[in-house]
Amino acid sequence: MKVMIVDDTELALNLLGRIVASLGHEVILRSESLGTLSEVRRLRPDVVLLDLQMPGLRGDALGELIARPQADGYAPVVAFMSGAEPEAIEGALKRAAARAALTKGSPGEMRRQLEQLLTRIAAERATG
Amino acid sequence: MPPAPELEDEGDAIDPAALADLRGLEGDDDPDFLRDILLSYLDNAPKLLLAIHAALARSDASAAGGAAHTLKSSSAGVAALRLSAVAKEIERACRAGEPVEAALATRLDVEAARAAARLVELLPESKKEPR
Repeated sequence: MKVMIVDDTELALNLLGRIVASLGHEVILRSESLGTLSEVRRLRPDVVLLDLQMPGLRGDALGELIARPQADGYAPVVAFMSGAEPEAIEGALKRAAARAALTKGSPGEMRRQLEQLLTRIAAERATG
Repeated sequence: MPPAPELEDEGDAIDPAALADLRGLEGDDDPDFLRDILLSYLDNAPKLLLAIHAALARSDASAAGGAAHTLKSSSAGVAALRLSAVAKEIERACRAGEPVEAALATRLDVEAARAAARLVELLPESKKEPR
């Protein structure tokens, strides 16, 4: 799958990109929320992983826009990443029709969460 | 003067299992991945520490909590889990509108220094061919 990762923290962006690439997916990295919506429409990733706490347009507001289906039916799966526990960002998940919240933690924890999420999404897409 | 914080030595500032996970992400296509990640962290963590202390000094809980949040996530990403836990406690206090005790702020500096020193020891040499 094609996975876009949006995070304003360089370290997190590179680490997440490396993890997702190690799981066998194509990775697109973006370090700012501005311009991301047009890039999503241009590059049409299957999944967009958004950091919730970014300067400029917040992750949940951006996720709400990204998750809206285009005229041809295209809509990527949106998932949030946050240092907060998933329960703490439940409201943002609902507002943005995002599918999951990943908790930023150690590399191993993030790899496990991402592997589980991306495997589930790939299976769902394969079965339509 | 408040009592000096207890500087317990609970083990390595860098969690061995988390570090092994990080090393496991290295690959031939990016041989300096670990080095680059650690250098990026060592470059940015002091700035975050300064931002936390400056914000606490001017009682700006929002800014202090935001910087502590970033330090928490970044530190966890490089296996500095003890520092991450201290940053998490400062973030929690800031978000809850509670005062950040001086001992906790000092503990942050102590753990940050320990983590940085250990990461410098662990920093691998560049594996890229010189141009």
